Amino acid sequence: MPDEATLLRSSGTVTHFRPEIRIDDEVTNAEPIAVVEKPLSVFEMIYNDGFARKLAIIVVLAVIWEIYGRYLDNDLLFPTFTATMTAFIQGIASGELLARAWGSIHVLLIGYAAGILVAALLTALAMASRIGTDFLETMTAMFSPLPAIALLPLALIWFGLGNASLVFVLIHSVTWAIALNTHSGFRSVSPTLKMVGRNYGLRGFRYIWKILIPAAFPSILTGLKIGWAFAWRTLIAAELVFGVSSGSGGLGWFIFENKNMLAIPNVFAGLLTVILIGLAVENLVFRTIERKTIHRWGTQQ
Amino acid sequence: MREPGPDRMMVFQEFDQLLPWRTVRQNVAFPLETASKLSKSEIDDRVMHYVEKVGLTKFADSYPHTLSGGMKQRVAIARGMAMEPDILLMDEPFAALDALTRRRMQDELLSLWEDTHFTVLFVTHSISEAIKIGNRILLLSPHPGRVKAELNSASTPQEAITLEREIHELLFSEPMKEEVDA
Repeated sequence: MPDEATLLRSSGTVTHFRPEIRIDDEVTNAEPIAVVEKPLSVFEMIYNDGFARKLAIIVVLAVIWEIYGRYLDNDLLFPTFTATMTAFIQGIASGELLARAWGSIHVLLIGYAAGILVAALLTALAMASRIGTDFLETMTAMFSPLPAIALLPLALIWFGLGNASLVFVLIHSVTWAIALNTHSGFRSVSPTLKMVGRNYGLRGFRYIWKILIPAAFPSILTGLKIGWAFAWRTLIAAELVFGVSSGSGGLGWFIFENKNMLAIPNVFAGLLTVILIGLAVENLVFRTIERKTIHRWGTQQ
Repeated sequence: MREPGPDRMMVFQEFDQLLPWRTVRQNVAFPLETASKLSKSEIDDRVMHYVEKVGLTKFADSYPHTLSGGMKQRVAIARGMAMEPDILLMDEPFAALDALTRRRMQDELLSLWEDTHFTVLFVTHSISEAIKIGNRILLLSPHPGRVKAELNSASTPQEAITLEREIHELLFSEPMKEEVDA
């Protein structure tokens, strides 16, 4: 729709009904803007810190635990928070808990590494051919709903009472999650990036290493995290069934042994260790990897 | 010619053509690292030369997600030019930019060309962009995409207006997509 000014202009007489406004930079700069910042109170500052909020929740839970434990006054059923902490500190000091935790982590790392290897092989197969893709999809569909611990009886028959059985169930628990996530990550790499890689003449392994893996890294990392969580649970559960292979079992066995000896504060201390290690891996290891990679790259917020 | 290769560098329309896990400098260096036989220091020198040419020296160590659309396209152009390819293929590189940035990028591309005189095959939907950027203009017909006309570009503003009208008339006979060779 032509406005009046245009109509007038086309008829030859230029008349402005409304004044034109031009803002001069110097004028705007001359007016300083007042400070609009309002300082936060100490409480608001603490409340805005996510870590402080979570710490507060944990403290409240510990207090409730302590009160309930004292009210119940039965160490065999529900030891108090202080009794648990004492058992925990004693376990650390005597080195037993640390040795047991190392026993678990040691087996876990072997199983985890082997699982990643198997997942890498399966994904490579799936990327290389269509039948490989079908194979991966079928295997994942069949085995990923199968709890790893359900394979333990079989593993015991095949590999005997030892770390080999544990590693076997660990591989089963991590492989499917990692392979599935990596494969779907590869498939969702942007076509533009794939073309860029092809443009530079990248082929085969170099193409996967330089384009596909970094581009799919958010999915791969998700797979690694899920795989880790599965592996940790599976291992503790498997150790509860049997855990003694070479004199000293892992944390699961520590919990089981102490339950048999009715040293319930130690059972709680063992559970606490399991939780703490899980938290440490999630918050230190994986959080650091995320910060240094996908957050820095802006591929995931 | 059977497959893509580093002697023909491509600049795409999409902003996600930069590798998000590499900084500006590393992105420009990427094709040189993978496809050239230059030494590390030669690569560094050449990368900084072209990063400077597109005016991004201050952002050499930034990751792509912190850059604006126009800056990302400039990195992609620098990356293409750093290879010093026989021909630089540009598929609507400015199509996703806003009008003002687009005009500035056209001027920058022309001044880059003044410096180095490289060959560009530039695909665009904008007639005025084609006339401004190109020396030689190919008009393509849709379905099947055949060359419908091959024209010389204009050198004076007056010629440009005539040429634009001429191309318009050619296009109105049936809808077309045009392509420019600079």
